[in-house]
Amino acid sequence: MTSVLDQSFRGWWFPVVRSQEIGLRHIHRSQLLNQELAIWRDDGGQINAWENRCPHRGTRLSIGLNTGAEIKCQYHGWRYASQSGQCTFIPAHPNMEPSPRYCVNTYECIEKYGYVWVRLEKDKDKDEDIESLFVLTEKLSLTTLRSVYTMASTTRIRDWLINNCESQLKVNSPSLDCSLTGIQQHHSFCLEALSINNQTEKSVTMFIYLHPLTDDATVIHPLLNASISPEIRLDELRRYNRLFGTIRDVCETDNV
Amino acid sequence: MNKQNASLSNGGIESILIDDWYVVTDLESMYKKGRHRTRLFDVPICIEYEANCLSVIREDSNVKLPFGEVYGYLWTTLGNPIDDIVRFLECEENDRHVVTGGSIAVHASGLRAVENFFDLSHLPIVHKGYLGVEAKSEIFPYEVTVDENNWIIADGCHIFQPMVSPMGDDGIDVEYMFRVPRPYMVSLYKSNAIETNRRDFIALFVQPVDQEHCVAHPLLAYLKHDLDASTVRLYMQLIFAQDKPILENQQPKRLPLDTGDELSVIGDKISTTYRRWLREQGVNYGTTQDG
Repeated sequence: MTSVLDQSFRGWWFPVVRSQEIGLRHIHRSQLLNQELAIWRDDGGQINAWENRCPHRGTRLSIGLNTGAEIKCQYHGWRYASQSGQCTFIPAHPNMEPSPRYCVNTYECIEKYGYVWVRLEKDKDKDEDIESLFVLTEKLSLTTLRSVYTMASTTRIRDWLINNCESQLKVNSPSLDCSLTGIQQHHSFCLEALSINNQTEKSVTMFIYLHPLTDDATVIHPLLNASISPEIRLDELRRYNRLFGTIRDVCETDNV
Repeated sequence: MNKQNASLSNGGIESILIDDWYVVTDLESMYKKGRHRTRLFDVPICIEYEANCLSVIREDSNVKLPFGEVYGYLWTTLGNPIDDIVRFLECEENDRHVVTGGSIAVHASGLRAVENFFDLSHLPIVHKGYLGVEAKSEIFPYEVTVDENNWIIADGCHIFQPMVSPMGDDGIDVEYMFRVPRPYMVSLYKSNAIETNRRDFIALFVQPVDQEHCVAHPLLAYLKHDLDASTVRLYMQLIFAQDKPILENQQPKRLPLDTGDELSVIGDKISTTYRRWLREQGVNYGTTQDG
């Protein structure tokens, strides 16, 4: 069930990876709306989201070296500065100062609510305040749950969550010890739901962000509006992991 | 040479590519295996060795293809080549090891593999400690021409190389010459450390499996001196193993020919010449022009 992604979404902000996963001197490879990204942090803590391609010979920068202030391409050793993406050094011509056109394509990115958020284009007509997309306003205590990679389109997952999740989840997976209810849509890529613990019947608000990798692959980023106490943390995380694993399986299976 | 005419449709692939000879397997492993299935320009091919007899068959039509056995490799064609299989004088000299370097499958356009082979400025980075050192990475001007046979010749290419030898020398300035006889074929000559008036030779015969997959078949003709043949072969495999992950991480997988798609510097002169040369001859297969 391929649904070609609307190019206008390039002006939207998306969470692409949990901040905690962008460790020291690491380069994380991701995708957003069919665009491959190299996401990395410099030693000063600044985050970068770049096109994952050296403009010289097309080598993925994610196989390069994060030196703490620059990315060094693995093929010819060209170096690119954090934030600007400007080439600072070309080993083949060490005395040449690279002109401004020797520059990686960079994207806007910020860190908020435990995620790295990226948008591919500035939308002139709809230069949304980033806050309006987060839909989180109160003082929050948040827990980012494990992001789930699925081979299903964003539309497919969103529609299934809205229309089928509540009724089918219990029927198909009676062994699951939590379920979702009261699912509502904030915008095309953000849902809100109540997560019910089937044993204690306690409920917690959850935000479900959908991150389109490609036309038919999506990451689900579930964000819990609660903290989890250390003594039950592992069990809780496993519980949510089973829940979203089941959602992934259903969406992928029916996708054929 | 078994020359049967294969007059089949070849999917509109340009004559300059289809009417030529390509390596599809090395003979030594063929004699051991007895059967090898592969593809050339997307066309499935089966090579069989039975009762001391080789045959090459197009599996989409069951037509027998002409083939030749040259330099330890089996060559075939889907078209009607005007020329014979390319010969290199160095490979006829008997004080050289003439060895195949082990066929390596690469998930990239074969044109990317050719370009990597004549790329000077990656030597001190990708092959540092072997074919260059990072502290001496500068590329000095060299000359690129297209000769009367329409081969690209890049001459006077200098690079400082560490000596990887038991003597532990400091290193030498090595001179390279590159020649590109065909879109999917490239060769190099590099100065020999012992016989300064002679050069070692390596050719890369690239088999376009499809537009985004290839098999690189290297051929080496190294002056023997104290080397043995297996050392020559192992060295080639060590070097290519460093190139393979780079090649497979280039995007797009097909070679862009438009000058605006990838940025170049003066040291890339052979690459920019190659891309223009491909464009002028209307080569599409394996480039971003196609698909």
